[in-house]
Formats: sequence, structure tokens, C-alpha cells
Amino acid sequence: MSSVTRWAIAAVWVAGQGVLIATGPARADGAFAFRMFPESSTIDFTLYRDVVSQSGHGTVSTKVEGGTWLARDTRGTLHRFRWDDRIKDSNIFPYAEPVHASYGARAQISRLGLALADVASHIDEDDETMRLVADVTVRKNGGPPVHTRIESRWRNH
Amino acid sequence: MATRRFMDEIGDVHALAAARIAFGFLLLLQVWETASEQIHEGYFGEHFHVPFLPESFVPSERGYTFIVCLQAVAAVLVVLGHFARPALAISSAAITYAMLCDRLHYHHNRWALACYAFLLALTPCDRARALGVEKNAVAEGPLWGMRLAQLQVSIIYLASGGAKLLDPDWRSGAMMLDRFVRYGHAAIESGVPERVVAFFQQAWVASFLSKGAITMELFLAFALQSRRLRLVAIFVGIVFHVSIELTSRVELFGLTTGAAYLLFATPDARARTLRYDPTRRKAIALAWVVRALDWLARFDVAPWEPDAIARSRSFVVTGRDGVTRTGFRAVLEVMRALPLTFPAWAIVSRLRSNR
Repeated sequence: MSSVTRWAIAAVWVAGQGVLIATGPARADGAFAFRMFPESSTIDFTLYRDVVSQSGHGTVSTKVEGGTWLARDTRGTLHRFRWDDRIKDSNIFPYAEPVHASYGARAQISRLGLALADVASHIDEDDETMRLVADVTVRKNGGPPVHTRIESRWRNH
Repeated sequence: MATRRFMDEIGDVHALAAARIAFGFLLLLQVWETASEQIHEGYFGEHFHVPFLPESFVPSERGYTFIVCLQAVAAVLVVLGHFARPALAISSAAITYAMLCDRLHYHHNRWALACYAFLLALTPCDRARALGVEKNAVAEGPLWGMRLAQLQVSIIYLASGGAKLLDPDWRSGAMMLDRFVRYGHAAIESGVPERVVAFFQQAWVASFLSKGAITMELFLAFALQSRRLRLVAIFVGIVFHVSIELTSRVELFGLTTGAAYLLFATPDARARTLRYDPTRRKAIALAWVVRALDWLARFDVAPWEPDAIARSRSFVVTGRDGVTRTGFRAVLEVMRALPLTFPAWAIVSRLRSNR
């Protein structure tokens, strides 16, 4: 391998690492930027389903206990749905108690938003849930609790 | 001149071979971890995943199983040193590809492993301690890839330490204090005395340790590149990573960095000699230990013919500096040169110098 090739490989490698590290903050999880132990934050969320109210006007929020709920399909058959049928990451589970926010609170909130969308789009037999909602509490590095609400898109029935 | 040497240097490759074997085992552990995840959770593509790549680039279950199997074979080839460089490149690509297909499985230690595997693939790490390579053959090759891998170690420390330095919660110690407070009960449950836990849960202690950790990472980033500070840096780094391993779950990060530290050994095979009396048990034992643990091929070990002068001693070690040592000083010289005993040497020699 010629000296020029070696230089080129070394330059591309170091520049590539530099770009990945410099752009790390732009990615919620800081992937490829070697940001070790970025935070000591916790996240907990309670999962709700927005369902059509009994009056037929508007929606009401129903709390999902233990990540499991029952809902009927279009023919009226009852089905059981589980959050962890789709979401295997134990850091994204509605424990309703604080868990370590792996790779930081921002990463977990971003993942939770995507998880809500994913679950909402994979419950075809649930004809009742209009959307999923997460009521999130985050504490960043022992700071005061910050509440956020994350919603999936409305489901089309 | 220095940069020219950096790119054109030729030298012994035993340290590279030792690093290759260490990384081979780490790649095996990594593939075991990946396979366990897939067995435990099911194929990631069939449930919630977050790809960096477009979804059409995510492999099918069969395709991913093939990649994991290929990774396992590649890791074995890396350990054996047969077809090792392509196997390292394949391992690096497979780990990176898996993380690009699902960022939920992204971990810094995996990315670090992928980086080191790629950089090792650029080195002649298969010219020693490999299948088909004669044990005592002279093994040399270009070292620019090794220098680049050394630089990668510093890049990681610089990125990690720099990010912490720019974070006010890290600088103030708020982040570390929260960890100590939140996991204090876990430490007590695992046997750490309450008084010790309470000590670490003080704001000033957490602040001091935070600043210490940032300083240490930045120090390591620069000191590892300095010949004068390298020994100190490696010892500090070992202490740093052991303390992280004891207090946090970081998968293979400590071991990956430990393997990368092997790359900092001076590439001068058999620059030291150990001559021993083959009629004395302790001398034979020492020679056996040195042969078994001398992963970096630093010692030329051979018995001597017993004679009147040698009768008073069991072994003689000649260092790289040409100085001959016997007795405890010789043992210390051996400990300094062997990776496994290096930390003990650092502690013992420090205690001796304090006397």
C-alpha cells in the first residue's frame, strides 16, 4: 500500500470520527459519538388509550395497566393487546415508576414517541383505541420532575 | 519527521497479534450477546426497531441469522489468525450494519469494538501467533494501522471527556451525585458499608469525582500518545476502567479498552532476556510463567549452563536498557513487561519508591 493511500485512509478515518463526534449532540442518543454516561436521568410514563366516549361525542382517556388492555375488533370480538408484544426494550415499558433513561432522557423520549407510533400502527384488531398517549415524567440528573405528553397519531378505523 | 515515521514505521507485530487474539475473543463474546438477544427477544426486525437505514435495507430474519453466523465464524478466524484481516473487516462491518439496522441495539462499546476491528484489519496482525506461522519466526510489518488504532483510543477518551467537560451537570457533579444517591441502596445490598455509601453521597465528593473523571479521560487522551507518560497512563486507565466495571454495567467496554491498550506495547520482540538455572525449581517455575504470560513476546527465555558464578542465583533478567537484574528486582522487571502482572508491578514499584 503506497504512502499516499495510507495517508488518505488515515485522514478519512480521523475526519469521519471527527464528524461523527461533532454531530453527536444532533442525535438524541448521541450514537457514534462516544458520549459515555451522558446522564443519570430517569423516565417514567403512564400509558393511556384515547377511546370514543360512551356518549359518542369526543374521546376519553383510559389508563393502560401493566402494559395490557382489552379491546374489540369490528365484529365485536374481544382481544387482548400487550405493549411488549411489539416493544421488547425493557427501558420503554409503562412501569409507572422511574427507570434509568438509557442514553439520556432525550433519547428515551424520542424512542418512546416512535414506540407509541409503532404500537398504534400494529393493533389492527383494536377497533376502539383512537390513539395512544404517554404521560411522561423525566428527571434529568436528579433535577426537578418535568412532565411531557406524547401522543401517537389518530388511528383511522 | 514524526508524522512520516508514524506512517512508514516497520516493526515487530507480536503486540498486534496479541491484540488480535484479545479482540477475537471479544468479537466472540459480542456475537454471543447478539445471538442471545435475538433468541431472547426474537428477530429484531419483527418488532419495534429504529433503523438508521431505510427499512428496505434491514435484512430478513434468515439474512440476519446468516450475518450472525458469519460473525461467529469470523471471530474464530480472528482468534486463530487464519484469514484474520478479512475476518476483522467482516466483523466490523457486521457490527456496524446491525447497529445501523436498529439503533436500539446501539452501544458505544460495540461501536468502539467495530472501530478497533476495522483498524486492526489494516495491520499485519496475522504474521505472528497465527495458524501456520512458525512460533519463533521473526515477524515484522508496517505499523501505521497500529498507530491509527492507538489514535482511536485517544479519540474515544477525548470525545467522552470533552462531552462531559461541556456538560454543566457533569462539571458540577450533579450527574454523579444522582447516580450515587439513586444506586446507593443497591451498593449497600451488595455489601458496601453504609458509611462508605454515605460518604460518596455528599455533594462535594461527587463534584470532586466528576472533575476527576473528566480530567482523567482528557489526561488519558493525551498521555497515551506520549512515550514518557504512557506507562503511567496505562496504569491510570486500568484503575479507571476497573472502577467503572465495579460500579456500572458497561458490557464489554472495559475489556475492549484493555485489549486496545496492548497496542501501546513497544514493538521490540525479545528485547529482554531471562536466563535461568534449569536445576532449580523456582527458576523453572518463573521461566514457565514468563513463557505462558509473555503474550507480547518481550522475553527471550533460555536456561543457562550451571557454573560456579551462576550458582548463587536462580535467574537473571536483562532489560531493554541492557541492565541485568537478579532476585526481586528481576521479578519486578518481569512483572513490568507482562500485561497481566503490569498493574501489580505499578503498585509494588510505587510502594518501594515511597519507602
